[in-house]
Amino acid sequence: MSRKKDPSVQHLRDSSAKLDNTVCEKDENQDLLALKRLIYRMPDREAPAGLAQSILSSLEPKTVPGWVRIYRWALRPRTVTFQPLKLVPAAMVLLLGLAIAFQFAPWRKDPGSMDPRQASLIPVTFTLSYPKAESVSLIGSFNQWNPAGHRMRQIGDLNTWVLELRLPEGRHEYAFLVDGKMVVPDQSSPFYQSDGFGNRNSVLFVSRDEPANI
Amino acid sequence: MNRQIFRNSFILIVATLLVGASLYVQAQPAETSVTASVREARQAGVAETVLNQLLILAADHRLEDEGVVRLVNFVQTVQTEDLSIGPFMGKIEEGLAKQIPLNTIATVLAQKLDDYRFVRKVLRRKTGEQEISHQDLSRMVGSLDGGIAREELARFILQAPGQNLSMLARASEILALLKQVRFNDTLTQEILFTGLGNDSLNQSWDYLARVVATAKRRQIPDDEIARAAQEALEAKRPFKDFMATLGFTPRDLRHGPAVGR
Amino acid sequence: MDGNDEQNCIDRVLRGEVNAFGTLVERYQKPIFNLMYRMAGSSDKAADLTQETFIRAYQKLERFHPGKKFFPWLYSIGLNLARDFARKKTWNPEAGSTLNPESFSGCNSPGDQHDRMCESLEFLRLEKALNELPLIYREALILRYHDECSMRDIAAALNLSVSAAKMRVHRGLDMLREQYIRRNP
Repeated sequence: MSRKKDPSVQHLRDSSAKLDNTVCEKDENQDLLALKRLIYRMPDREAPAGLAQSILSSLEPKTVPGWVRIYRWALRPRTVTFQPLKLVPAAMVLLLGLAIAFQFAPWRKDPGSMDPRQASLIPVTFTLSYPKAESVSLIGSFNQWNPAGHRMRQIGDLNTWVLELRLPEGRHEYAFLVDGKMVVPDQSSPFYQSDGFGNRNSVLFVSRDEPANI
Repeated sequence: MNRQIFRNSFILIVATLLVGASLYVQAQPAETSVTASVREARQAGVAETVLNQLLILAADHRLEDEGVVRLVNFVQTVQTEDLSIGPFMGKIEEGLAKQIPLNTIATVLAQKLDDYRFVRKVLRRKTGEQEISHQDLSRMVGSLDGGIAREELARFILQAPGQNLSMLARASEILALLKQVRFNDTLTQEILFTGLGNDSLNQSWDYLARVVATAKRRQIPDDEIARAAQEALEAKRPFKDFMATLGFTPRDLRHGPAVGR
Repeated sequence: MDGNDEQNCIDRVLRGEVNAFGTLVERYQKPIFNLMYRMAGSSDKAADLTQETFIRAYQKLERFHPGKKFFPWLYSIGLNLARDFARKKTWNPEAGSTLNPESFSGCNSPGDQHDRMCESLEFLRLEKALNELPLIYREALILRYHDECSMRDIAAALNLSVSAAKMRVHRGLDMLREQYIRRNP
């Protein structure tokens, strides 16, 4: 399709001028440049808080055969530098160093060690007993009251809903969203906050310090 | 005759010019209300991220233009009053997520703004022009949503000893929480005033209400709880000591969502 | 975090450290979530699809070539899921916000596009125009101009040759321009 014939584009041109290709091309380039800039600056939507944790909690540790790991290690590109005159001893040192690194890698952390960002969050388990609910989600100040990614799962007698999350220290307001429409406070929490809309949010205090871990 | 022709021609030309001018004016893009409100808000200092977030919320929740303008104007008002926009954006998100009608959200926002103005006014009476952080102010205002009436909060703030506004904010929050668990009002004030007067109501006492709630469930009398708290606060002992006085371990205090598992 | 750090994360995951995968999730959940949101039009569904993408990537992690970049590989998994989703359900971009950017005539000429004042609203219009494009063209543009990927990475993410990826970006930009102008006469 020729843009020059497209009537929706014509009005952008100076209607009084006899256009030449140069003018059209310059305008088009400016349009495209502006669009590229706009795409670049387009704001991203934030992923729901707790999504990462939700993903991780559904994963089981991998047990990959040793030969696969060795194969992958061998495939991994590495940069090696050497001086020709010192080739032999340097090569021997390098080989020895790589062998040691593979077996006793100093960067190798203990299994179960955590990304520092994850480690700063504190695990919390939310529970709700609600017979006959089709779905229950957790909404609160920690996820901008957005149920996405915070669906609770049924356990036990199927009247009980559970969700495990990691939350930062501090005070949080929350409620349960039943069947996508009913806002239900947590009866097990003694503290509440009126939301101003006629509902009550429950209040939770999260602390790393064990005496206050309540 | 010539005069007539001249006059008619003149009228025709003037009429044409007038019509042409009005068509030109119409052809110019009229500034819409949303555009104008976004521009004004930006000029007033509202952050780009806040405006983008509002517009995204509006798109997600299919708000009409009028609703968007209302929210943008409101956020601008908050900005010009030098208040933190965070709590208000949180309330907007909450209201939209709970599918509250926009009129109701607007009413609640206006009420919240009024609460902020009220608390700030009370604080000025107490401390003059002493600065209070947004977080501490929000905490005090939050006690109103926790069940404390304005008059009660004002009285509490004005009568409270000490000049530490962060501690006063903490005390306001605890005031509301202890009322929720039906702890004796007089004893509540005594505890909090002791902590404020001795400058000992520090961050570790944030969890006082949880301890009190659990103690009450165990049938420990209010005055015994109050005595233990006041002794610890007077002597500036750690919060753990207060808990130990009541015979608590962390395991005893677990209720509500399970933290730390 | 560079390629080496990512490889280290992957190595740790393959040694049984699930939490090491969290680093990759934290890093890339936003672009994947946004890809899925463009596809599904709802945060809820987008979150589900994002979760599914990472789970699939985790399941296939042994097959991920150590010399390659993780993000294009992850993106290609996400795109396949997005395509599957699209086959089952159509997202009607017109069913989006009644905010109706077409009614905002304050910023409708190319000259005004440089006016920062209108940019917030322009994003909504841009989003609508992008959603009119076929998936591959749209994602080619996002990867190129928003995520600043190289053509090689875009080709890997879209499962195309580099020249085909270049063509998608070029043609996609033309198509976007037509859509954008059509919506903002």
